[in-house]
Amino acid sequence: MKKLKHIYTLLAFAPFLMISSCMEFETDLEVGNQENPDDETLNFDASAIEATAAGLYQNFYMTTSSTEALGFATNTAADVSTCSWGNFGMRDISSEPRVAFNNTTSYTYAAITEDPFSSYYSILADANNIIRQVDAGAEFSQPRLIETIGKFTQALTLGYNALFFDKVWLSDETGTLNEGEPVGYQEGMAFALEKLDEAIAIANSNTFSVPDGWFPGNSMTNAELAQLMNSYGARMLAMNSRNSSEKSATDWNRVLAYANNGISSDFEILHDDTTWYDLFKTYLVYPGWARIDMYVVNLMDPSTPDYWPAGEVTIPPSTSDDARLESDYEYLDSQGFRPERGEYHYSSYRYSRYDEYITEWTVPTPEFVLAENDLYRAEAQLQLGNVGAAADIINAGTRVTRGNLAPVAADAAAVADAIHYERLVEMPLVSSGLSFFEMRKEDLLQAGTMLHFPAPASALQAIPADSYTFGGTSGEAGVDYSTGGWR
Amino acid sequence: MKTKLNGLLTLLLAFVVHISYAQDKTISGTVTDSDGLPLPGVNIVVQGTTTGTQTDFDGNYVISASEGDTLLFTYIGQRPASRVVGSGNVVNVQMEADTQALDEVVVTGVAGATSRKKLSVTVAKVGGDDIQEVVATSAASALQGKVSGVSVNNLGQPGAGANIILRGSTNFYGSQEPLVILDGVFVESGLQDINVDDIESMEIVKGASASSLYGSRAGNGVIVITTKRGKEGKTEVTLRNEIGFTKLTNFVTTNQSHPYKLASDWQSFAGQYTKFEGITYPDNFQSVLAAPGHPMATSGGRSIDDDGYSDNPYGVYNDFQDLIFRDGLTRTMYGSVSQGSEKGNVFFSFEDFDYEGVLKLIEGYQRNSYRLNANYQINDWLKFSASNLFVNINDSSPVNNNDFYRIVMRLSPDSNLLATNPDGQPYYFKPDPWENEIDNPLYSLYNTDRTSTQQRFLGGYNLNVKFTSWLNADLEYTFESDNYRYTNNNKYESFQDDGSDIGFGYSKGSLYKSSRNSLAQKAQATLNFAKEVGEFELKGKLSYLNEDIRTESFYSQGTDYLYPGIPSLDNFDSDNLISGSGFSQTIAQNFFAIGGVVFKDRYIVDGLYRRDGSSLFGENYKWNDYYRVSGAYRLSEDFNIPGVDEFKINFAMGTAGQRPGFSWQYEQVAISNGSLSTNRIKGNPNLRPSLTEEMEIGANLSMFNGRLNFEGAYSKQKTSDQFMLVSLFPPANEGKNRQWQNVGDLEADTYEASLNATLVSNENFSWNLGLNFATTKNVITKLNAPEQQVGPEDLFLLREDIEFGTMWGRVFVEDLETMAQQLPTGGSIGDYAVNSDGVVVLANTIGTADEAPIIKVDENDIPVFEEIGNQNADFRAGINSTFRYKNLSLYMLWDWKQGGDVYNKNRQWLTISNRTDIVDQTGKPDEEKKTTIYYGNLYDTNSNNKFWVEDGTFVKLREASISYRMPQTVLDRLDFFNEIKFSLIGRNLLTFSEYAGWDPEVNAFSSDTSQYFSVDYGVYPVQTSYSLSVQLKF
Repeated sequence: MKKLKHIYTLLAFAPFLMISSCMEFETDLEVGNQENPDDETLNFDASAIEATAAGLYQNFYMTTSSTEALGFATNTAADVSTCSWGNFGMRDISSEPRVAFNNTTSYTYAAITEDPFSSYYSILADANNIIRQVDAGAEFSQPRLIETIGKFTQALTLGYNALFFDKVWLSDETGTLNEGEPVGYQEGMAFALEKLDEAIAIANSNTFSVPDGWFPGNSMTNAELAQLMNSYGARMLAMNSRNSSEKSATDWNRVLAYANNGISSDFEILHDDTTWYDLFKTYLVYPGWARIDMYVVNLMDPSTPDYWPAGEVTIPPSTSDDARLESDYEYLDSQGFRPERGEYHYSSYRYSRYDEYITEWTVPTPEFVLAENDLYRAEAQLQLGNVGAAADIINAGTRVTRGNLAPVAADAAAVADAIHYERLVEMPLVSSGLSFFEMRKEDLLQAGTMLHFPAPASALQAIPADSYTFGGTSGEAGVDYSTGGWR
Repeated sequence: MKTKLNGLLTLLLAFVVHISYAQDKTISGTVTDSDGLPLPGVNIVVQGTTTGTQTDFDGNYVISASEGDTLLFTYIGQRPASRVVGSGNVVNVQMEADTQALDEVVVTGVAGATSRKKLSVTVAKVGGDDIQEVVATSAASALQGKVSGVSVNNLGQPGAGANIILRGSTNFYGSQEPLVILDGVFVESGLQDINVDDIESMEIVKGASASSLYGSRAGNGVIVITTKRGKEGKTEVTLRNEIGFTKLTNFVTTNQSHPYKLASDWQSFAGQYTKFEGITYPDNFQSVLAAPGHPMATSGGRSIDDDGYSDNPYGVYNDFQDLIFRDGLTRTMYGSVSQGSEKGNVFFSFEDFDYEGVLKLIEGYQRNSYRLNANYQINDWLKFSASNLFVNINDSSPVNNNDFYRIVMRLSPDSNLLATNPDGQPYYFKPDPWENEIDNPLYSLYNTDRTSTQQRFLGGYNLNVKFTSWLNADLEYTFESDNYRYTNNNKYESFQDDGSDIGFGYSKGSLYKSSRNSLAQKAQATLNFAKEVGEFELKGKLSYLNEDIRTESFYSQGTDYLYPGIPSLDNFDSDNLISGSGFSQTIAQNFFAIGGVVFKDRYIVDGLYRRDGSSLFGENYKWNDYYRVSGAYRLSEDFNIPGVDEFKINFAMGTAGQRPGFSWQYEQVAISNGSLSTNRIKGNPNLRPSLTEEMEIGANLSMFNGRLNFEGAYSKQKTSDQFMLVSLFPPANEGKNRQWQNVGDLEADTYEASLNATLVSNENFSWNLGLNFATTKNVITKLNAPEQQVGPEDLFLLREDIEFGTMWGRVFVEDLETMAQQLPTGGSIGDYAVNSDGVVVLANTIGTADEAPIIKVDENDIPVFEEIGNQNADFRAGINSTFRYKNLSLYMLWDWKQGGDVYNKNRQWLTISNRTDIVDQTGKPDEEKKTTIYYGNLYDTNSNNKFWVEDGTFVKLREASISYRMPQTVLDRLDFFNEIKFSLIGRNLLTFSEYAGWDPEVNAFSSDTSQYFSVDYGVYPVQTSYSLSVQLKF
C-alpha cells in the first residue's frame, strides 16, 4: 500500500517535471555570437561586403579626425594651433625644445599612434577583401562602384600611413606583399598612388552613382568621385615630402595632373553628430581648448609678434589687410593656459570659422576645400617653373576673394610665400595633418620636431620587434627630425 | 580518635544535609535564541556535578540546584552561557549565536552537512548577531571586517554595494568577485540589492580547494547565503524600523588663496567679487564667466603677483562642498511573519529601503523586497522547499561624469554657483569667472534626469526524495530574472558649451533609453549519501548541473528634441534616432562526484572530481576538469591537552576556475549604427578557463569549554591560464589588433587567523571579543605576452615578476644620486638640492618661479616608467566586541587596513587650477613659500606620477551600536511582545587616516578589466551614517 502511495506521488509530480523539462532551457554548448559578424560572413557574403564598402570612407574619415589620432599633435607641432593641455599629445609634441616622441606602451597618449595605425590596417584589410571578391566575380549591385571605392580606400589607408609614419606594411587583394617586411614612406606612397590611379581609371571608364550615405551630403557620380580621388592624389603626393629637397624631387607634373582633374567645389561632410562628426575641428576651436599659434597671426599682421612675449598675459588686437582676421579669427584678451608649461603656448586668437559647427553640430564641415586643390595646382605650376600660371591661380582664389588682399605678383618667391600663407591662414584646420605636412616640406618645423612617427610600440612588441622613435635628436637628421625651422 | 571521627561524621552529615537541602530547590526557565525563539534540546548542567537536563520543545527546562550553584547552558551554534542561581527559582536565558563554534554545521563545498569539527577545508560562517546587530544596507557589505581573508570595500554610491575579494586576486582580466549562491540560486546580478534582515547565515568558501565543488565558476571563492525560514512553534512577527541619515564628515581642504594682483580698490568690492588688477568688470558683475565680448564678460587678463605666491585673499569665499553635499535620509522598514509545524513552514518578509545619499538634488536609491520561503513535508519521504525573492528598485543616479567630484573642489572660492542663468534656470552654467572648463556642479545635479528601474526575482525550488535513511536525492530548479531599464533625459534646455555670444546655449537635448533582460536558470539533480558503518562515517554526492544564462538588451537614443518638455523617443526626427542591441547566452553542463570518510571520529578524508563543459570555452577546450583532496586530523581525540576542547589540523589541495567572458572566444568586429568598428579582436578557439590551484593548511583550536576559539590557515594559490586581451600586429592579422589569450600565472600567498573569545559571561554581564587578521601577497609569476597597463588611467601594470596591483608611472627625481645620472650638459650636481617637498630642484631657484621638479629620465631622455605605488594592503584586521549588561548591549566593529596606496587623481587635478591645499601659502613663513608655478609643475600635465600617490591606511569604527532590550518582566506584563529592542547605530563612525581625500576607502571601477582599483577619481565618497532602529517581535 505504501509503495502504491509512492507511485501515486511520483505520478502526481510527473507533469510538473515534464513541464520543467519543456521550459526553454538549453544544453547545447555550441553557442554563437549573434552580435558580431564572423570572418566568414565579412569575407564572403556579398551583401555584407557591400555594406562594408559603404562604410569604408566613413571609417577612414572618422579614424583620421579622431582625438585618438595624429591631427591634434601635428597641428601644434606645426605651430599652427597651440595648446598646452596634455590631451591627444598636443603639449608633449609641441613643447620647447622639441623632444623625442615617447614611443613606449606606457606613454599616456600612446593611442594617438596606436589607433590610427591599427585602424588604417583594418580598413585596408576590408578594402583588400572587397577587391578580392570583386575579382572573384561576386554579385554586387554596382560592382564597379564597389571596386572603385575598394581601391580608393587601399590608396587612402596606405597613403595616410605613408604621410604620418616612417614605414608602411604593404598588402592588397593578393595578400601580404614584400614578404611581410615594411617599405619606406616613399615606396609606400608610390604603391598607394598606383591603387589610386587604378581606382580613378575604373571610375572614369564606368558609370555609377555613389549613394549619399557613403559621403554624407554628397550624391556623387562616378566622375565626381574621380575628381575627389584626384584631389586626394594631389594632397598625398604633394605632402609626402619630409623636407624641401624631397619637395623639389616630387613629381609635380603628376601633382598637377591630379589637381587639374580634382574637385570643382568644396568637399564637405554633412555630420549627423552620431556616426559622423568632426572631432579634429571641434577641439581645435572649442573655447578653452586650442588657439591659433602666433606664427599664423604674425603672417596676417607682421606687427604682431610671431612668438608670445614673455611676461605678458594680454597683447593688443592685431590689424591686417586680410579680411579673414576679422571673419575667421576671434581676439582673446586673456590666457587660459598655465605659465609653467611655457608662455609660448599663449595666443591672442582662436579660430572662429567653425563656430556654427560647434553650436549646431549637424551641419557640414569641409574635408577638402577647393582652395586646397587650387594651391596644389599653383604649387605644381610654381615648381614646374610656370610662375605666372601659379600667380594667376592664387589671384583667382581665396587670397583675393576672401582675404581682400592685393593680387600676388608673378614672382617665384612671392608666389611661394602666398601659397604658404594661404595654406595656413585660409585652411589651418581643414583636415588632419595638412598644416604639419606644409611646414614639414618647407623645412619650417622647429628644430627637433619629428618629421614622421614611428610604428607604435605596442604593435612592434607584438611582432616582436624593438621600439624606436624620432624627434629631439633621435633618428636621421633632416629625414626623421627637423634640423631647423622657422625659429 | 573517636571524638575526631565523630566530629568528621558530624561535618559530613551536615554537608550531606546541606547538599540535600540545597538540591531540593527547583529551578525552571526558558532558553531562547537571540531572536527570542525557544530553543529545544539545550543542555543544562550544574557546574561541577553530573546533574543535568535538556530544554523541551518549547525551550522550557526544570532542574534541581542550590543557591550559588552555576548552571551551564550549551547548544550547537550558540555561545555557551552560565548563570549563577540566586534567590529566585526562575532563570531564563537568551543565548547568542556563535558562528565560530566548532559545533556549527557547514553545508557549502562539502560532501554533506558537516560539523566544523570534521571539516577538512576552511569554510567561514557568519550569522545571527554578527550580521543582525548592525544590519548592513545590503548583503554586499554585511561581511565587512568580520571574517579573516574577506576583503570588503564599500562603494559610496547609494545602492552600489561593495567590492568583495576572498583571499587574493585571481584574475588579470575579469571580476575578482566570488560566486554568490542565495538559497541555491546563482546570483548573477550582485549582492547590492539583497537585504540583510532576511539572512540567517552566510558561509564563505575562500580558497579554490574548498570551492572546487563549484568548478569553473569558483576560482574567486564562493559565498553561500541562507535566508530565514519558518520555525516550528508559534507564529512570530518581526517589525524593524530604522531611520537615520548619512553625511560626509570630512571635507577636503583646498587652497583658499590666489597668486594674482588685486586691484587697489578690491576691498570695496569684497562680498561681491574679487577685483583683480588689469581687468575691466561689467556693471553688476556676478562673479561668473561669459564669453569674450558678452555684456556679462570681463575683459583683460589677470597677472601673477610679483612674488608668485598664492597668498592673496579672495573678495568672496564660498564653501562648495557644503553647497553640494547634504545629509541624506536613510530609512528601512522591515516586517516578517514566520510560522512552522512538523508539516512545513512559511516565512514571509517585506522590506522598504530608502537611501538618498549625500548629493543634493538627487533622489538616490530605493528598494522594496518581498520574500516568501516555504517548506512542505509532503510525506515522510518527500519534501518540497521554495525560496522566492522579488526586489523592485528605483535608482536616481548621480551625474554620469567622472569629473564631477574634482570640479566640486576645483572651483575658485569666489565662483558664484547660485547665480541665475539668462533664461531663468537656476545655477549659472559657468560659475567660475576664470575657468572655462568648469560647468556648475549644482547645475549638473539640477539638470540630471537619470533613472533606472529594476526588478529582480530569485526563485529556488527543491524537491527532496528520501529513498532510505542514508540515501536521498535533490531535484532543484533555480532562476534569477533581472529586468533593468534606464533612462537618461538630457532636456531640451540643458546647457552646453557652444559658439554663441555668452559661450553656452541649449543643447536641444537628447534621450537615451535602454532595457536589459536576463534570465539565469540552473537545474541540478543530486544524489546524496550519508551512512555510518562501524567506525566509519561516509558521505557522498553525485550531481549533474545545467546552467542556461541569457541576456538581451537594446537601447535607443534620440538627439535634438522637436518639442521641448516631452521626454519621448517619438519626439525626434527619425534621422536623429539611433538604436542598438546586445545578446549573449551561456550554457554549461557540469558533473561532479564528492565523497568523504570520517574514521573513528578523528581521521577525515574527502575527495571530489568535477567536469565542466561551457559554451564560454573555446571550441578546442569545451570540457575541463577540477578536483580536490583534503584531510583533517582531530588531535584532541587522541591527546588530552588541558583546557583544550578541540584541536584539529587540516590540509587540502584542489582546483577551481574562472570562465572567459561571453564574447572572448569569438571574432569581434563590432557593428555600431551600421558601421564596422576598426578596433577589432581576433577569435581564439583555444581559449580555456583560467585554472586556480590551491594548497591550504589550517588549524582549529577550541579551549575552555568553547570560550576561546582559534582558526588559522595558510593558503598558497596559483591561477594559471590567465585571461588577457593581448595586442596583435595589425598588418599581419588583417587589421585585427587584439586577441583574448591565456597568458600567465598569478600567485597568491595568504595567511589568515581569527580568534573569538567569550571573556565574561554571567547573568548580568557578558563580553565577547573577536579578532581576525589576514595578509595576502599577489605576484605575477609568468606572462607569455607583452606587458600591459590596465585599470583607471592605465595606472596598473601586468608584467612578469611584479606584484599584482602595483601602480606604475613617472617620478620626479627625489635624490641627488639619481640626479647625478641625468645632469644636463655642463650641469653640476652641486647646483641641485632636495627641496621641502622631497623633490630635486635647482638649489638657487628654491622659492622662485623657476623652482621646478625634474622628471626622472633614461639615457634617451624618455621619462622612466617605474613602480610608484601598491594598492594592496599589508594586512587587514577586524576587531569586534559585544558587551552586554543586563538588557543593554554595546557592539563595536573596528576595521583596520594597514598600507595599500591610493592614487589621489582628484588632488592632482586640482593643481591645474591652483586649488590643491599645498598651493596655499597663506600663513607660511616667507622663506618657506613656493610659487604657484612651482606647484603647477608638480601637476605634471596630469601624468601618472608618484607625487600623487598616498598611503591609504585606515582604522575605522565600521559599525557601532547601543541596544536596549525591554526586560522580560516588562514584556511579560505587556503579554504581547517577545522582544522590544531599541538601537542607536552608526556606520563608518570614525575614520583615522592620513589620506587627503574625502575617505581612504576608494574603489574606482575599470570597465577594461571589470575590476576595482584604488584611484580617487569619479568615486562617490563613502559616508558616515547615524540611525535609530526599533525592533518589535510578537
